[in-house]
Parts: sequence; C-alpha cells; structure tokens
Amino acid sequence: MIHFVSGKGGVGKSLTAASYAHALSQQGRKTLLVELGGSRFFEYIYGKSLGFEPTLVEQNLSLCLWDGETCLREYLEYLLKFSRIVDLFFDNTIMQALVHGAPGLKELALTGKITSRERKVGPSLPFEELVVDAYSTGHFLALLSAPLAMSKAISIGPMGSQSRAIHEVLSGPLVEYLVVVNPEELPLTEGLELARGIEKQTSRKPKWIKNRWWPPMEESEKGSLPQAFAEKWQSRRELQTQFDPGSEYETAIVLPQIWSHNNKDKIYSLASLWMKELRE
Amino acid sequence: MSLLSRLENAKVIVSAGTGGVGKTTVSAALGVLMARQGKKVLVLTIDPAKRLAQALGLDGPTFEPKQVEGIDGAKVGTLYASMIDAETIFDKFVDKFAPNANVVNQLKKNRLYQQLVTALTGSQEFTSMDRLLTEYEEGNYDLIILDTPPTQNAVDFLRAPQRIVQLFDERITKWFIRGGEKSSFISKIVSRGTHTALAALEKITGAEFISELSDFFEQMSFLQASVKERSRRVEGLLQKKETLFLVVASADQEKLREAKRFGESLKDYQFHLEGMILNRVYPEWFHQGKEMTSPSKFFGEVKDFYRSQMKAVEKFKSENPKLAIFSLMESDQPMNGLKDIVKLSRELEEI
Repeated sequence: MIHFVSGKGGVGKSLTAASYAHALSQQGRKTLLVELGGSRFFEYIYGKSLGFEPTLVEQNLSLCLWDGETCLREYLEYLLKFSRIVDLFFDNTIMQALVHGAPGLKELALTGKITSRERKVGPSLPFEELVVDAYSTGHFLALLSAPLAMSKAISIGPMGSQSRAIHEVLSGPLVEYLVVVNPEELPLTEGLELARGIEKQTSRKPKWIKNRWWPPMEESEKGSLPQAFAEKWQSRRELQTQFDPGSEYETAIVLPQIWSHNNKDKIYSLASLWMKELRE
Repeated sequence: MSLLSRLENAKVIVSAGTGGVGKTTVSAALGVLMARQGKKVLVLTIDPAKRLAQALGLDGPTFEPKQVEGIDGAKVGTLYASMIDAETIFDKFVDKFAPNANVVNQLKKNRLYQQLVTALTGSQEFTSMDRLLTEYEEGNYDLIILDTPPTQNAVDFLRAPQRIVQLFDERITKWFIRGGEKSSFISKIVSRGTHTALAALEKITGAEFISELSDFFEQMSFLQASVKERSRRVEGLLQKKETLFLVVASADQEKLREAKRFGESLKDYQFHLEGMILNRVYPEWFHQGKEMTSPSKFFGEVKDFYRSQMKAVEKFKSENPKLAIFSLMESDQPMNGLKDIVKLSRELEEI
C-alpha cells in the first residue's frame, strides 16, 4: 500500500511517518520511507547520505529522497531507452526551464513514481509498503490535484491516459491518507481543511494521526501544579476531547508527546506504539 | 545588541523560514513593535491562519492594505496589514504585465494554464516579492515586513525569481515552434537535436499536450521582458543595506541546522542576514518562580525537556558566535487576537 502522511507544518509529520515505516518494517513488510522535495531531515537523523535510489537503513526498511525532476528523468529513460535523448532533455538549459516551468509536469512525475508499482509502469520498486513523508497542507493538495487537472486539460494521448491512471490509483483502495494533528487550534483547523481537501480530490476518507496528545490530569496532581501549567494542560485536554469534527474521519492512532530531544529515540518510542496498534 | 536596535534603520524586513514555526505571528508582532516606535509599517503576509487574519482585520474580501486598529505606545505610528492572494496570484500578475488584453485572453484560454497554473513553481514566491517591490517603490511606508510563503525548504524562496525567469525564457518558445527556423548553422544544429527530443517528448506525452504546452510558452513569452525587469529590481531591493533578513525557526535540533544552512545561503545571494529568531524555546510558565516544584511525573518530564532545550539553544549560540540569535517564549494561551500579538511584540522589544 501507499501511505501519505501530511498535516500543517511543524506538527511532527516526518517523525510520525518514520515511526510508522519502522513499525511496518518490524512486522516483516518490505518498507520504503520516501521523503519528498529538498528537505534533508532524515539524513541528519540516520547519519547517512540519502538519494533517489533506496538506501537500506535497517532490516526491511529503506529510505529515499524523491523530487520531480529526477522522477521525470527516470521515467523518460524507462520509456525512451536511449539515454542520449534523455540527456538532451536534461543537460541543456532550455529543457531545464521546461521541466521547471511546464505547469504540473513535476507533480505528475512525482505522483507517477509513487504510484508506479500499482500501475505496473516504470522500473520495478521491490517494496510492499510505501510511506510518503509528504508536503504540508497547500503543497500537498496541489500535488494530489495535478493528475486530475492534467487529465482534464489533456484528454487525448499518453499524457491524458497516464494522468487518469495515476489519479485512479490515488483515489483507490491501495492508498491511505493520514493527516497529523496536534491538540492546538491552528493545526486542528488546518488539519480539518486538509482532510476535507483530500476527500474532495480523491473521494478517499483520510484518517487522523493524533500526535502530541497529553495524558489526563490526575486529581492528586491538580493542586500541586504551577497554575499556568495546569491551565495549559487543561486547555490541551479540552481541545483533545472537543476535536469532534474529527469524528467525520476515523482515527488511525493516538500518539503521546515524547519529551525527548533525540529524534531517533522518538521514532523508536512511537514505532512501538504503532506496532501495538497494528497488532490490534 | 538588541533586536530593536538592529532593526532601527531597516526599510524592508524579510522574515523567512519553514512552515509551522509561528513565522506569520512573529512578523505581525514585529510590525506592532516597529509601529510603536513611531513608524508607518506595512506587514505583507500570504494566506494567514484564520485567527491571525481576524486579529489583523484581514478576514474581509479585500487584498488592499488595511490599518490595524488598537495599537498604542509612546510614539504611536501606524500599522497596516495586507494579504497576498494565493488563489488568483498569477492571474493578477498576468493582468498587470501583459502587453495587451489579447495576450491575457489567449493565455487564460489555455487549458494547461487554467488547470494547473495555481501550482506553478515559484509563482507564490515571485508574486510576493513583486508585491513587496510595488509597495516599496510607491513609498507609502517607512517599513515593509514581508512574511514569506511557507516552503518545504527555506532556500526555495530564494530560487523562485530565477525559476520564474526561466519559465519565460524565449528560447523555450523558439524550441516549440516548428518549421520556419532561421537558417544560421548553429540554429540548424540545435533544431536537429531538439527535433529529436521534441519527437520523443511527443511520443510519450501525445500531440495534444505538445500543442497546449507550446501555446502556453508562446503566450508566456509576451510577459518575458517585464518579468526579467521586475526580478532584476526585486533582487536589487533585496540586496540593499536597508533590507534585512530574519530567519524564524524552532529550537528542534534539525530545524536549527536547517535554519543555519539557510542563513549561509543568504550570503551567496548577497542578502543581509540580521538575525535568527528562535520561537517557543521555553514556555511562559517556566519563569514563574516559586511554584515550580510538583510531584507530578508528567510535569517533571515537561520541565526537564524545556530545560535541556534551553541548554541546547545556549550551546548553539556559543557555537555560532557571529550569529545574532534571539529566543522567544511559548505563550501559555493560544493566539486569540491582537492583544496576543501586542504581547509578543513587547517580548520582541526586550530581547
């Protein structure tokens, strides 16, 4: 399956996606964690330089970094077989500008790569699970909408049919959309907008990852806490229970806030919670 | 040197950084701070969260600058805020710079343009910068603060003008126009090669796509001269001494590293990085003194977390002595109106 993880910037998308990928790989699924675009978050965490081709970081778990341009290049090589022509596309400034400038082309290449296994197009991708650490709200919706938009603009020819096929996979049962939210007002509001946007684009119902959820406050604790902290705790708890618009969509998992600065430790702690969830 | 004295002579402040660090709120608070120094300030922001838009009086349908009411101070200036319209951003740009109405109509009829232009690479960033330039040249304000659009990678913002100039490159148009080539030897060679590539592109995408794409680039080429000219002037403005960049980041280790890298790439563009603002380094309740002990295990964990986060920030500061780094607290209450922005501006005044 393909699992997209998105949400407002700063809600913990990357760590959540990584922990999910870890859990899937520990269940024996061959898993690929995909980081989109120019962010190099995982390179720091795993201390390995990552590229377009998957790098094995643990048993069953590989990581890679995909961007539109490289995906497009790989696709052209696959179709044209002659790398001389592909070089012609990429090694001159005009084609560079075309690749960056043609509306929708990079988004299409990226969604095309992500769905290549399901569509049986392109080089083989020997993984059972693809966890995509996707862009945040606006950029992610733009990415998702590109194939359908392209198929509306271009109905005839290979571009039209490829775009339709990509959109079909994105709106089919082999894709899972996960929206990460925190119990704070802005991430919740934006998360809900994002979830509705995903449903509108794909007719798929996304699921929540409720991240950085705080535990209930014991009666015995109440009196001893600094007042401001108690109030903050209370208000987060209220937002957590009030997040009822969330009932529109199912909850995939509730993850607590992990009070650590070590991102790798955080991934492992969260992964063990995912494992528990997946077993049930 | 305090943040305020660093910003004293600025005509433009660009606040940059990745999403989710409270950049827009910090930009608005900087606006309040500078208005309270007696200046006439404009804050330009793209797609602010609803609450924040309401706080600034921007929840209406207009994209014209509006005066923010309810700011007081010793030397009261005025604060204006304005939203950059993310939805129709490129349409407006086309309307403004197309040589005539015919070009506008042709371009807007193009199906690729209709379906996909809102996602056009770099268009948000470029049009924000263009708006900044327009406001700057009209000269109605003492200071303009630009809250940059959120990018996956802060450096994307800097690359945007270059990308958009490429898009209007007339060579692309030439590339697509088949037949009737000029007969110089070099152009013949180029066109033989490009014909092969074009044929290949057509094979994998289809004739309809190629024809729409070629129309798209042809219509875009009419905008080329003005886009180049605007980008050149934007770059000039961003390089001015009175234009200061601030990087807003959170205290997370990876985010700190990324912010530092962004600061370094600013130098490559000859832009001036004035400082780094680290948001939500410690919570508001942290310094409330005597009540700080509690047997609550959870409270203990949270306290230790912030303690070590502050230590990590101190370490980062000592490792980067040349960078002016300012830490902000995390408010106990969610942003709920202008008074919270004013509260944050008071904090900015102190650091």
